[in-house]
Amino acid sequence: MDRFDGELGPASDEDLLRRFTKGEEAAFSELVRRHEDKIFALAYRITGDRAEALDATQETFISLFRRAGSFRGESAFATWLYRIGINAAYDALRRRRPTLEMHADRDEELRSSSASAMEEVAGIRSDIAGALAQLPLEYREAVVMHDLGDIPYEEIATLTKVSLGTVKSRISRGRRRLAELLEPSYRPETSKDQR
Amino acid sequence: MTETIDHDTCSQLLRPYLAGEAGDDAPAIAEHLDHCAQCRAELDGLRMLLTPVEGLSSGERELLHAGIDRATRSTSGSTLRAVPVPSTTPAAGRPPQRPPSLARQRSRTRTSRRLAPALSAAAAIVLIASGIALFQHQGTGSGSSAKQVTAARGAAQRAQSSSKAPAANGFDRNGPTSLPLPRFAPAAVPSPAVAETQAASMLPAFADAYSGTQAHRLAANFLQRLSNAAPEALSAQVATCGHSVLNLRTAATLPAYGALARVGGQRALVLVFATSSPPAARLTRLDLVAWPVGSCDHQLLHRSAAIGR
Repeated sequence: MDRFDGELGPASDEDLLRRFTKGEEAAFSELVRRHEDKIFALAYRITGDRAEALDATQETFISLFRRAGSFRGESAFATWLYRIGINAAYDALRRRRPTLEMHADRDEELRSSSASAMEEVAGIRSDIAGALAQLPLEYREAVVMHDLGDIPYEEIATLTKVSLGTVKSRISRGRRRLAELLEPSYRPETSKDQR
Repeated sequence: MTETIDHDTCSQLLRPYLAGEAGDDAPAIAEHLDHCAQCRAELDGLRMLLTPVEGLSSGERELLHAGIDRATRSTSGSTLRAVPVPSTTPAAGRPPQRPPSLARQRSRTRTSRRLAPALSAAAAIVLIASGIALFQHQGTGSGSSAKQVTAARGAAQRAQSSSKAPAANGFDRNGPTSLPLPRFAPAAVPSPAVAETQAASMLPAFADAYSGTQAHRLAANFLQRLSNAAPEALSAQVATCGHSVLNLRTAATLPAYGALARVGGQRALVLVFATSSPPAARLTRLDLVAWPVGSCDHQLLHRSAAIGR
């Protein structure tokens, strides 16, 4: 038995968060260890740059440390944390291009960065991050939240103030568009985007 | 055959389908995909998006933990320490300091990938806290805080010592001896069969020591250890070929053993992984993969076998 399976392992994320807010710092350490790889992968897919993804991962957990008390349990802890991670990754992109417009409302940040601005972001990025940046904003937002951030359809609908059907449609079309962007030889007739 | 699911349902099930977790829905999804170009395109896009990301290297993980630690450090010590020490004040209320950007440390990160053993003593302690502390409590239950602190300090001292004097024979002797660590054979072996025999003697201990969940967590760390333990000329290839295997797997895959061997008269790098077969969480199988020295482009050999007892 080790420290993960023994003292802290069986505890749920939400329980660990509660213990951390009561002063048990080891619970915070365990949350970092549980989620750091997922947050890093999520951030890397958005930024396409390992150093920036590392930066975003660091910022995510610092935010967790600061904002642990603000978690209200309205969604799963992981959903809440991944939203912070997505915001941190887009913050990293904005730092790359400081003239991007900044918005105060963090929940609106995903919606605020225009596709054209994202396309102009300088620097090295992976093909996938580049293709993501070329997606229409509403598609990108839905795909990132659901497919990278594990955020449920219903919660995305609430966050983006659109119907559940619209969320499903955006995710579906966004994925098809990604296939076309990432594979130049992709046959359009197999992926008819109806938008 | 009659279609049993529609576009909408298929779209929602594509993620679990890709992960091999669609269960009883998998045949219906496959059938739908057979005749639905739109859903096939969607699956392709999702597959590309979810292409595995190369995991955090031990150096990157160390930088990450050190950065978080600097920003959240309390008067009672390191936040990411190895063992829980009761705090006297609520952690959430402490004003954190903003750490330096990790992006600005990019060159340091890259260096650290190759020179993990030479990292600073302070950072080494953080590394111990994040990784090697796992080995403190094997078979001992939760233990007392005093014992844990002593054990963690011992591990930190061993790590600092190891950064100055890596094991000459390539075997990692610096970690606690109660749990098995990956190792690279100090001398070339004559054949993959000999490599498999050597690896097979180690793997029951791996199966006993690590669950599938722990294997997921430790895979990148163990690959780094194996890369560090390999002869310098093979170190980069161990990391590259090892990642090429880890990136393709959804099952738990833990790098355990490496060797230089001859395959069909050709010098080859052999890596052996302890793996689990979903949905079993235990590491029940070994995978042996061989590549020609100098390339990870094609495999000379891939063999899978049950881990013997």
